[in-house]
Amino acid sequence: MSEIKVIITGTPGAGKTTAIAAISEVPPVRTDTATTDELADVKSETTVAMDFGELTLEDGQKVFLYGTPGQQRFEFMWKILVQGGLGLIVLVDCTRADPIADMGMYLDNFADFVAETGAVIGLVKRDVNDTPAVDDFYQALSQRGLMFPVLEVDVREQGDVSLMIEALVSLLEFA
Amino acid sequence: MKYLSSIGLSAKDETVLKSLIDLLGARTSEEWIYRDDVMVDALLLDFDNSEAVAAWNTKPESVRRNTIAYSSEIPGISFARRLAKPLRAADLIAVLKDIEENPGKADKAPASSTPPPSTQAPSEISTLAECVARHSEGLLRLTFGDREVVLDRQRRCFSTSESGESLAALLAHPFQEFQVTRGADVNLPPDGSIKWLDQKALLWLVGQSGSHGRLIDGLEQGGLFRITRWPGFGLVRPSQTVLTLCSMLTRKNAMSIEEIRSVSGVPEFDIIAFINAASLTGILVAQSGDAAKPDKPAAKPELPTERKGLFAKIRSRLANTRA
Repeated sequence: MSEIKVIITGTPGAGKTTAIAAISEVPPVRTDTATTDELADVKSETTVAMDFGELTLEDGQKVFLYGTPGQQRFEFMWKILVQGGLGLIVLVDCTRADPIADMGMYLDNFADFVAETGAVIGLVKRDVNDTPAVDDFYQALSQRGLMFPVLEVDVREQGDVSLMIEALVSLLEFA
Repeated sequence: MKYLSSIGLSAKDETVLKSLIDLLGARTSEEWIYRDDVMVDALLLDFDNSEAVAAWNTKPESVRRNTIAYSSEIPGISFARRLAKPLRAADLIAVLKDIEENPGKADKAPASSTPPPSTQAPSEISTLAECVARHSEGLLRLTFGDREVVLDRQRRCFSTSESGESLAALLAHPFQEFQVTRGADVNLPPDGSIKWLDQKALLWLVGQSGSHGRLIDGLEQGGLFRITRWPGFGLVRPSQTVLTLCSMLTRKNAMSIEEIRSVSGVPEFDIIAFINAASLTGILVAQSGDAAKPDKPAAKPELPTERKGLFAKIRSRLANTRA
């Protein structure tokens, strides 16, 4: 059986590790280490290699969930992790200074992968402060010639993480 | 001398209309008088007032000829003569002059491209989706026993006694079973005692639950449809059917209901509910089915069976997660 991978990326602190923990059948494998840079103000630990979780399908086949490190300096890891991936989930932390630019940065870096597969944009922490409207994200996608689902999610909720994967699967099958 | 009357106008609009008629003077070729006790030459119909539209539908053709549809910007009103709210003297003069010059002009679709107008006169309201589509201003209260929903179109918000799935189930009841109250007749408790939510969540659910297989007026059964973005699902988690339709209808090229049904296998009933919901929430783009499709895209390559099987298994697994 071939390996089925769903890749979850996004800004540091957006909740990639939390998302995988919310839905994985097994305790997620984490490669966190203490933050020592400016990120220390936001979170005490950050992912440096990948997070890993899995789901088992009815015939025993596994779907692996890979969370990339969020920081751009780990860009080299992104290219490795996406190889053979089914599609991409981009988590955007809406409390950051420019969430739309954040989304654009990840779409740029995963451009080849996204062009071959598809992506779902998950907006997190929408209730914390004034953030761009969902339509602004769609407009930014449209300017790139892309039409992906933009969903407001709480990655602590299993149902919301499940919804993003289901939307990704629908996109891959019908869009 | 010509006579004008109205159906369904608010007291304020009726007063304004009568005042404007009195002031027209020599600005029209003929003298116009507001009368509702004689056979009139023109009739102003408040298209946003569904009860007025229903009453208008029962009137004989001799009364309905030269009807002027008075409304907010509701797409797809199928009248040759229209006035946008609020009432303006210049617009009224223009439409009355048109009636003077072309008294027998048949109602036909206005020159608008998106969404395509129906060529039918507005039908009697038979679904909740239609009721809400036609109510574009002010308050609307839908009562079902001790359960209710209040929609405030002005403030783009709603309030309800229900939550999530319970609201969806409520909205699925036949329209005739609701008690409908509009405008000033809707008495609200004092501010602060009601929780208001963004109206889009309700509008989406009204389309999804309250369509009963009927497209809302202005949408053609044979039209081509697409959506400009995925909807915000709000209160109720979307079904797999909805996710499928979202994916298909965000393609660059619009699709007919028949094409969608054929490719996705989704029943027409559900496709119509989705299209109505998309229309109510303002994300639908509709083209006339008569218009030639620009460039028919190359058919999407059929997914290998193995791939389809994989997607089905993932969905099944995630459905178990939800259960």
